[in-house]
Amino acid sequence: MATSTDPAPTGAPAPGPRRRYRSYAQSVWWFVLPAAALYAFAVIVPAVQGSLFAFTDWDGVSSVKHWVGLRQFRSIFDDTNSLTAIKNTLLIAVTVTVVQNAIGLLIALGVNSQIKSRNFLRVLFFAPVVITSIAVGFLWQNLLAPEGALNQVLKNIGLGGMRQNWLGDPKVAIWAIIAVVIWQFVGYSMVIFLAGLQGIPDEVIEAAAIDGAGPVRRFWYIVRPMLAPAFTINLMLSLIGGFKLFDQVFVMTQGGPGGATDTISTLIYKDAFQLGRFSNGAALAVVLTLFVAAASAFQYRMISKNEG
Amino acid sequence: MTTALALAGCSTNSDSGSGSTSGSKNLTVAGWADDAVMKAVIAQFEKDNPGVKVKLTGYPWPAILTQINTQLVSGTAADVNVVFPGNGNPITAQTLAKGKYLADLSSESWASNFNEATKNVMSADGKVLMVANNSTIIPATYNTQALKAIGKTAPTTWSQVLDLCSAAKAKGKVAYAMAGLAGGTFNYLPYALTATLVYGPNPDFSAQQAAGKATFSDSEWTTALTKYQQMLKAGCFTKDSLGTSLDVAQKQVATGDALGIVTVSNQIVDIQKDAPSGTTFETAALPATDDPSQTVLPVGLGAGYGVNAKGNVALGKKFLDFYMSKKGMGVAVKAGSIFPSTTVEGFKPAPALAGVSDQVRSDKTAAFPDQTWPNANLTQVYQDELQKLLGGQASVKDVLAAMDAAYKG
Repeated sequence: MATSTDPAPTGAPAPGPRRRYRSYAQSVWWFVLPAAALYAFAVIVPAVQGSLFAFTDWDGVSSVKHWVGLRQFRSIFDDTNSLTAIKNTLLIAVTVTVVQNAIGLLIALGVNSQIKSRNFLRVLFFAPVVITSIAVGFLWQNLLAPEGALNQVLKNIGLGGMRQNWLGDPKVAIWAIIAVVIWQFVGYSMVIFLAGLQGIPDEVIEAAAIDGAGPVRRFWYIVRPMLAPAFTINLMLSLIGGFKLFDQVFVMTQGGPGGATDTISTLIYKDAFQLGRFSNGAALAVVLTLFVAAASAFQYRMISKNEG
Repeated sequence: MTTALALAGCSTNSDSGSGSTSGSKNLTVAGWADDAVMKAVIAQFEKDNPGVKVKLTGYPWPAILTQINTQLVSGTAADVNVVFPGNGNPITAQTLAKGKYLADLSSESWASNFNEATKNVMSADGKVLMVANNSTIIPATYNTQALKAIGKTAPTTWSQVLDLCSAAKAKGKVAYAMAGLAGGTFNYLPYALTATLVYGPNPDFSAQQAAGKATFSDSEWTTALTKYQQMLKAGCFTKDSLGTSLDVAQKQVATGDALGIVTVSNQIVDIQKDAPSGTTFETAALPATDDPSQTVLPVGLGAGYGVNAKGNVALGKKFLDFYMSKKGMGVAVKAGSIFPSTTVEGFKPAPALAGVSDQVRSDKTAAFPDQTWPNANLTQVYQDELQKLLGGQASVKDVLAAMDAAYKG
């Protein structure tokens, strides 16, 4: 007598692990579909459509546009302003990534110790992260004004010779912006490193100390490798953030003086929305996307290799 | 960022961007944030037209440029929108004409009140696309008490300008506050000088440039920018002006740390707000030669409004008719310190503008140069290059060569 648990009488093989997995995978896709459709509608389709504008001469207003192939991309590399913006973007991305993480790590090591004020210091260092970038931009625009607080403090402590036209000197302005970005986001790196540090068992550190390892050796051979995941996420986030930097630059200098602090993002905005050169802006956006993708992929591979 | 661009660009025009339909009694207006003049005009319009509801949305500068442009392109714009005359930014009559976003206002009764030169900057392809109830002036605005304190009066010749700079410097002040940070005032002073040196003596200069018969480099623009540089070297401007914001420069004039400022007239209200009680201000055209009779004042049609061609056109036109009517102008003049773009009987300018009010109505005026420039990029190049000139990274020749290249597009 056949029961519901009998094998199929047709001689068909019982579902194997691969078939069960396929069936499971298919059902999972149905759950993913609504979110994927929304993502495609809101992100993928507009991104592809936006990228296509880079191959046209559309000015952002006219009802007509023509296919111009790679002309907009060629013009990017013929234009001094675009090249300056690309150079600035790379400078910001690399400097912010290195300095922000170095300082973030040092602070994290400091506030991970047993000092009494560690909780207060953690909040203090993290506080700028929660301020909007626009507010940070206006705040520092005032602090960095020729007669602003920073120059006044320098003067009052006898360092008047170090006073600068922080946002008005083309050679200084880009570094002033980099410093502001690092000030704002160093707490973010700190928090991620701190989480990594707190995941390292005390016993391991203590064992190394008993074996005679000093603080530097303990950091280099134990803490550093165990912080690898924190390094990965921190470097990735700060690099991408550096590449995309817009708000602080636009608020503080709008890319000036004379385009000296323009980044790819500020040029995209100006070209697309202010100067009637939408397709130029779209081409720059494609270039930025490729930069971010390439840098992130390279960095991820390198770090994954080291982690492995 | 690619996504943002695409989202801005991929939308299609709807039949009624604002949701208003022809014949509807609802009107949407995209204007300036905290614009007391427009609020007063709307209140009176609603009062005169029972049942009509006007919803005003205000945008600050410079967000207004991208907001209105993007809304018009994506079909979500209000029925009536801020539109600038001429060319040079994303929401000028001539920029928006390329997409046919604005309704033709040529047959409105107020159109005949403007002369041909003004009508040209309100139009594109022969159609009037915007109108403004106000004129913008670029005078030199002086703090009267600060001038008196150093025993000087507003200069009427170029030599007196340089003399004022020396006298101010000797007293530890600056003659002209200068905001060189983006969004500042650094771009206005050359407009004041070119009014006397270029566009006043040769009103056809823009037309000659369009015809390829004139360039910036081979014109009196060279003299104007050389004089600008001369003022810089003479210490006429705020120290470290490239790092100085508009707000700081305005405060310098308000408090008397600077004797004056050359900027657009609608900023005088902001300067007055920062000034100690009892401070008064006066205006005069900035001279560029030693003959006062040659001094020309830059006067341009101010920012105004256009009607969204896909919106409630009938009610939008009716609203602009009221905005430009005798009654509407009267309400506007009473509500704020605007300088009306057309003659208003009994109009008395704000006391600070009394010094230039007669000249505004005379033939000793010239339009702002950027209103006739062929593309917005030229304005950006002009500002970037001017900052380089102020910072010593570019010569007058470099600036004008870059402007000529940008003019060609």
